[in-house]
Amino acid sequence: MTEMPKKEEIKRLPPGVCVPWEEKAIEFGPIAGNPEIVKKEWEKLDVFAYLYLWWWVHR
Amino acid sequence: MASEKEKVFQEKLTRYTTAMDLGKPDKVPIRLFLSEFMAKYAGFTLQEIYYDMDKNIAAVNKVLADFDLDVIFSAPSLWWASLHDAVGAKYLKFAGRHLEENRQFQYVEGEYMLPEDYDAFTADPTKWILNTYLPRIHEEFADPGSYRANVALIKGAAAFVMANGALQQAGASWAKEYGVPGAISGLVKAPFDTLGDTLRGLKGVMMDLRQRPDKVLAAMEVLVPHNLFYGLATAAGDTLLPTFLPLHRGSFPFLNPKQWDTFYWPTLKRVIEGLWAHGKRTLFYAEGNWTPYLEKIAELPPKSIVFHVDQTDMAKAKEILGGKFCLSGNVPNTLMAYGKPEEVREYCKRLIHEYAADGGFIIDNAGVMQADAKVENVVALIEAAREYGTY
Repeated sequence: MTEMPKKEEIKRLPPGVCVPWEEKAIEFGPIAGNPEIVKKEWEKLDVFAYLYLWWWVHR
Repeated sequence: MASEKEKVFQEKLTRYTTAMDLGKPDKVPIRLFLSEFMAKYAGFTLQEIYYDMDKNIAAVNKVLADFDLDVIFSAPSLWWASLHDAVGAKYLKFAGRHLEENRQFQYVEGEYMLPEDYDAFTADPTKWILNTYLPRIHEEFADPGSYRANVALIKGAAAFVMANGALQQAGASWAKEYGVPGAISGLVKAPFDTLGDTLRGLKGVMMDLRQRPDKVLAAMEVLVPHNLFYGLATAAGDTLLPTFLPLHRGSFPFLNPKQWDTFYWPTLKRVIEGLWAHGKRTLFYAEGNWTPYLEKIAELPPKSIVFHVDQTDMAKAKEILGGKFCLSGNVPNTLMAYGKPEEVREYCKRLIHEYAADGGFIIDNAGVMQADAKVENVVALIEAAREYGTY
């Protein structure tokens, strides 16, 4: 089961992040299988969303 | 056993990387940022290459089949116009829709970030981009949460994937079919340019230097890790090729020396050093004149950049940066558009004679080539580079 930080610990979004895994993990609750697989794929798509947003800035 | 194209690919790649590492390859590498010229050469209108990804890529195929280039930057159109239509992007106007079918795209500069946005931007730039910036620059996203806004987000993200996927596939095809490697991987911006290009605009950021300098500095401080991340992420792990750094507002004389030292250079230096700490070199594409800043640029770690000369004094660049960084440039775009082939040949001959003898030199145009460049002048440049640029 993943270790879940408290919501108030989450601050400014770091580079590459739109919805932090730590925040989403709290919403997911206990993960039955391997949490690293879920986390890795979550973060992969989260980076994509981040790059899409910043692409409109970096011209 | 390697195919003929694989051998050619390896020869060209070695030529290019050897020069970037300050070595003396077999020949001076030819790296031309041909851009919209490729559309004209391949017989496409600018509307066709902005809107039709297949034609955008086909234009490169034609150029690679006909010209002896060592590396290729990208397709002539950097941006897919349909992606911009899907979200109603206000800041770019494209041929065939807003403009006549052979008109270069136009960037409509404005203060898309307002002075009062600084605090929200600095507090959390990613959230600010989604919550404030996109609704402001995308007509379809003006009412976030609405049907049109949601559809625009879906279409924009899908088009982003489609365009990048097509260009990646094209890059693999250019390597396999023509034996030509890419010139760059990834894109990065100077934090001041991030602020001064698409957010505050030139007028806005110049006013900010007087009226709210602390907010400018705070925003750029926040931008450093984001720009560094963007440079690495868009390179997708590659460290062989340099990341592309188009430089804008740091060109002389936009800023006075004190402003440059205070606002432009410190954060840019940290981004470049951060990339280099990850083994990622930067193509310092110094558009305009950077002569007054060469001593500062020399402070960067050896080999961490390729310094591209546009209107910077090439002799000074060689004197101050030579032996520390590879130099590239600088056949003037005006010469390519209005000169004669003999003049292009003479320019290239002198350029190679004076600046390439020790290695660490890549021949290129001064700036991004447009459709006004003459075909015979591109031929002359390449022929002269091969004739005089063999070590």
